[in-house]
Amino acid sequence: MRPAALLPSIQRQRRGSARPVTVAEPAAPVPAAADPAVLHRLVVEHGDAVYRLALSVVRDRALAEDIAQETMMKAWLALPTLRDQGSLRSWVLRIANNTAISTLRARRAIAVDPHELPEAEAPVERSVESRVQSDAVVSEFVAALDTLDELSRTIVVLREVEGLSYDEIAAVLNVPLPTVKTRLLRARRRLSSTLKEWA
Amino acid sequence: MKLRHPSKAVLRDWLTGEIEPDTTDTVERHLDTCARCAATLEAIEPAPETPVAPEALGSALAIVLAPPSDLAQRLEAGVTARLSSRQMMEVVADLFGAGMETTRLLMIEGDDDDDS
Ligand SMILES: [Zn+2]
Repeated sequence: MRPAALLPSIQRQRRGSARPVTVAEPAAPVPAAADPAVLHRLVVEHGDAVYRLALSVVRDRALAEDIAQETMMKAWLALPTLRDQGSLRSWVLRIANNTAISTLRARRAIAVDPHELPEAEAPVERSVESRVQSDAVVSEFVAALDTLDELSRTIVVLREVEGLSYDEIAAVLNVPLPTVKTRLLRARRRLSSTLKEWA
Repeated sequence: MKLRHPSKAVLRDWLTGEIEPDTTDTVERHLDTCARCAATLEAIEPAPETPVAPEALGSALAIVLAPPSDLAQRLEAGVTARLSSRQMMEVVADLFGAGMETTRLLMIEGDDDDDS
């Protein structure tokens, strides 16, 4: 069996199909707990939040997707070890944050100029929704976002987009509660000042 | 670390970003643990600006950080494709802090083409 040779055909087969396709010849043995239906639920319910968190750390869309993929793989495989299933979302986000931080550190370690990577302009790529806003307005907001450090960006995203409580954010990011409160306060003020123009 | 609270002026500068990087580090290390300064910060009046709707910030962030529309499918396909037995064992070993031999026992089947 040559897993590497199988990969492109699997990807082709899967692309564009709404439902997961059962791969006829699995490239690898699967651990007892790794049920494909569980993976499906994980990516549908938490994929977007994981991607946004990763992107707020690394600011590079391709890299954020890689991190999301790695997070989902880890979460899927380790899910049986999670005792409190009620904390699933926080747990998945914690894996995502740890993965994003270590990815960023690895990238910075190999970068010649530590400020060169990752590419800061990536979030400006327009999603369909953002086209309703003028470029200048979006750029100003993105620029304000980029003045914040990764931790502050992550905190404001977990609060304002994902709706986590302060305590949940502190647990997900493994930072003290005052850090969450003060970074959030600052992020809100800096970002909100650029939002007056938003429709 | 000394328990010296930054002045209100310094805290205000930290909020707006008009502060030296060295000072930023000092202030942030202090703010990590000081609930009193967190409260002081909160009491600092924001610059008088047009108020924005509470949900506006979340919407703007969701727009600029928007995932690709087919993200879930791509992640699912990507994870499935990545699961060569070797990679998977490494991930499991890493997650559980287990040795590779223990990890091998966690698998349903042995590694059928890579045994040595
Ligand atoms: Zn203080």
